Amino acid sequence: MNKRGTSHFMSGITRFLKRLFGRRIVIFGTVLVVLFVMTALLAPYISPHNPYKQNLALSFAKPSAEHILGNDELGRDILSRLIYGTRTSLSIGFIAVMIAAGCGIILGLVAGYVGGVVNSVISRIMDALLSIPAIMLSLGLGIIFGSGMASLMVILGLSTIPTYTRLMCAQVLAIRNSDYINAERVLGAGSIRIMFSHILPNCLSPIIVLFTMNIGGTILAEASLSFLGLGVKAPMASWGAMVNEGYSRLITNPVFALAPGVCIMLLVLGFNILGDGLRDILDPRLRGSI
Amino acid sequence: MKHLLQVNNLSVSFRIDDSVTKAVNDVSYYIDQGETISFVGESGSGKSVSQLAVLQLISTPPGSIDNGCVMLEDEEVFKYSANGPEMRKIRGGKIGMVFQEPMTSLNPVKTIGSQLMEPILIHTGVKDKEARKRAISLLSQVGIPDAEKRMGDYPHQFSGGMRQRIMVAIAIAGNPKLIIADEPTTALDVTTQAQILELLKTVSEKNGTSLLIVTHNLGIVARYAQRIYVMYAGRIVESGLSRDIFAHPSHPYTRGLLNAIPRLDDSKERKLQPIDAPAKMPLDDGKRCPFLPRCKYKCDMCFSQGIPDLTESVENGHFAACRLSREELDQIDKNSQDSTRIDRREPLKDNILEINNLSVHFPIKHSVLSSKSTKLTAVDKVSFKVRRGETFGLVGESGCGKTTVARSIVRLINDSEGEIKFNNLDFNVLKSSELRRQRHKIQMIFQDPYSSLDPRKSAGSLVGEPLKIHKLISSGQEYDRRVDELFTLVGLSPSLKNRVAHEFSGGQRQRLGIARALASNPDLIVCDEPISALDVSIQAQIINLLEDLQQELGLTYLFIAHDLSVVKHISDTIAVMYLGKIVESAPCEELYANPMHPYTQALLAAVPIPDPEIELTREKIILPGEVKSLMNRPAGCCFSDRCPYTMDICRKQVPLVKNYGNEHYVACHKLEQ
Repeated sequence: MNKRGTSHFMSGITRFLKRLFGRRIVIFGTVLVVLFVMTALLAPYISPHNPYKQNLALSFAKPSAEHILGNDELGRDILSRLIYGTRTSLSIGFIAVMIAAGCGIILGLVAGYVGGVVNSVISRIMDALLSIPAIMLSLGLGIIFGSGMASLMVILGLSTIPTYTRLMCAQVLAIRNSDYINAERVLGAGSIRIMFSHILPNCLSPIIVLFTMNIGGTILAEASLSFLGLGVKAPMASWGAMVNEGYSRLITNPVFALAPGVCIMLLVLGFNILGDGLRDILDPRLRGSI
Repeated sequence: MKHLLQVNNLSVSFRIDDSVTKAVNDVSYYIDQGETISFVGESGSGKSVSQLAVLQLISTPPGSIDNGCVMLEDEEVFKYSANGPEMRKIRGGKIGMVFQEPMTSLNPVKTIGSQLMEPILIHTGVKDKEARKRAISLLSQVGIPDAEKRMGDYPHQFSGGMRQRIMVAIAIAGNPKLIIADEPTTALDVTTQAQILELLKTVSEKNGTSLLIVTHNLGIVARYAQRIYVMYAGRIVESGLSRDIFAHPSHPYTRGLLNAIPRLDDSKERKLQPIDAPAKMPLDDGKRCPFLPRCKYKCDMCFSQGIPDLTESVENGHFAACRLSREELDQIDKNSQDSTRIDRREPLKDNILEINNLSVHFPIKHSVLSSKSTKLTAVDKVSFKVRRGETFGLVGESGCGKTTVARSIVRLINDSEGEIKFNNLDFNVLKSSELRRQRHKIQMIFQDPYSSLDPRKSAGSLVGEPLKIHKLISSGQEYDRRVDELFTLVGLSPSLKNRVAHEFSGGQRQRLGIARALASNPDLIVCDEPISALDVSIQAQIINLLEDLQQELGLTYLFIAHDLSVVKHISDTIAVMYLGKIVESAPCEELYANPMHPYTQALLAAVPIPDPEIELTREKIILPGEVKSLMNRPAGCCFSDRCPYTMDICRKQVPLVKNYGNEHYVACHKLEQ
């Protein structure tokens, strides 16, 4: 039985991919994302120089054959730092969104399913969090958690929880009174089983889409926090920090700030296109027309 | 003779994701001035699409009209562009349309007055004041009381039946020559259905309008249509005068349909004969008879030769598209007269379920801020007993509380008052942990097979879930064996168990729902309108399945439905509900032979019987007014405002349920005297 189950699952995956890549633009987005992930994974092998090695003689050197994008203030190779920065940016983006989605889904599930006072309390807290401007909230949390990569992930994660909670809660409210959930109740299924085995899987498609879209947004937020000085600690490379360093020399040495800026743009673009593609095929109205 | 509307060789196709579906294939028909004709067929047969195509209302793409010629009087309709001024003049001006869903076919943000005046202004060229006058007279013509006052009301202030009346008024506003009614009463209750159809009939008779009714209900056809077109898979398979078709159906599909539906005048022993259904509607490959895969009369000729043409049979104007003649079909029918009777098991004497004074109230809040709330009594002190092994039918129109009763019994509604005694255990006072342990003894089959199965789970795990919840199996092997067994029991191949719900057809999904309900070996199954979302030929399969399972497993059913013919077919005892109360209950044969409560009498009279000869002689009782809302239930007898025999006492005092012999219980003042 398991074997058949797997093959069925595989054919489902094939159909899924076929539809996902039916549109060229989605292929473009996916290629972008894959390129960045590969860069992050293979950073030590593909970066031409050590990103931390200072060479004051090459301070603010213009691009040359040896250093394609030139060198920064301390003479470090910009291309190498960019490649290592992919690691930081991607991992912060990914983990922060994981934290947000994880907490948000659970909170939303509980709020929507249990309802009543629990729903009111959770929803009001989320509303309160949402009403604080994101950057203010991050700065406030920054004061509590301090700076550094780990706390950056937590800060960014915590500040995006409300979106997930609200989305999840709305989904659950729509599903919890449907006939198939009633059917489970009549069967005698317990609340935990209904919540996690039936409601959760049916709420996931918009969550997945929000997830991919949020990764782009979080990388941007990391950049702005790093820009404000709340980001990763030197000498670690991060795109946001690099924009921060380069921006004061925008006129004399534009590559310095533009290179990480373009990277951020491309990655966010990639994730957004991928998210759009996922949203289109996970739309329940299109289900069954595969 | 010149026809009012003549359609020749109409073909319509839809292109979705590179695959082309021929929805209508070479269809020709006509309608004369003042005639009433009907298109019959199941969902997907192309009966509605044909009508929409005539009006050029098909959205292109994905649809396209490939071929055809439509003559409306002297005009060639397809010459005009779909949104051109000539076409707009035809729509509403020459052909009026009534749609299926009265809830969605009116614009919710405009008053009905302005929606009704719109076609008058467009098509008759009169000024505002005159149009308003006409709109008011139209409203009173279709039976809306206080027409003048209600012109300024919005659609949500009207009930479904009233909205359909307004739709009729809009359809006739431009003085059309033809009214096309696309399933005009499918969304309505039986008594309202009778009202609307009578209205359409009188309106068309009075103005000399032709009427084209698209429906799947053969009873309606028999009652109203003079001629019939039967459609299957995009083609007309039989056409002719209504009485000829009902007396001598000459296409296997028509025969199948007539044998598949339970009739009000049936004997209870007749077993329904479903039409064999392939998993999906066969796509017309244009090479063979489209009905071939489901046909029980098929012969070698059907395989070797192409699609049969419509050929005229014995009577004038009676056409059927079948290779076999009527005599040959009769002969095959005669040879296969097996298992057409059901042996029914006698129900036992002890009661499996006893409902005593069950009441369900829903609180209604007036506004968000005020804490005051009123009670809406959905079910009002209902009592009945279900014997072990019988099928207890609970009938009533929408809003009468029958589903609420069902949901209280399975405790989906928790705060009901009264006693629900199941196997001598009061279900209503069980604690939630004890309840979960007892639950597998009562199971439920839901109305809509599309929403009652988790779309993300495989069929096997859906059916097997109760086994896991109640720990009814000890090993993985036993689990697999039991799931396979359940699939076979409901007539599904176990090889389908890895599919997910949307890969099944409606009938198969309902089988899955039944298999899931059977998994925990229940004693009682509550069937909440289990067949009303299914096509006619599939309904028969599910009813037969339920009956067979009852014989085999000794199940007890609480069968809830609004279709009185189905309930008559399947039930041993029947209770009729009206506005949250049981007004009459009796053994099945007794109730149908001798209905005592005026409401039951009206309900039975409102159900059309699929036989024009019988329909001619039947007495019609059309109830005035509509089912009152539960919020303002009439004082005294809840039926007093619509009852033809209302007396003073009916308006003051609630009638008590009394036994009139033969286990026949009725709550009516008139009978007491």
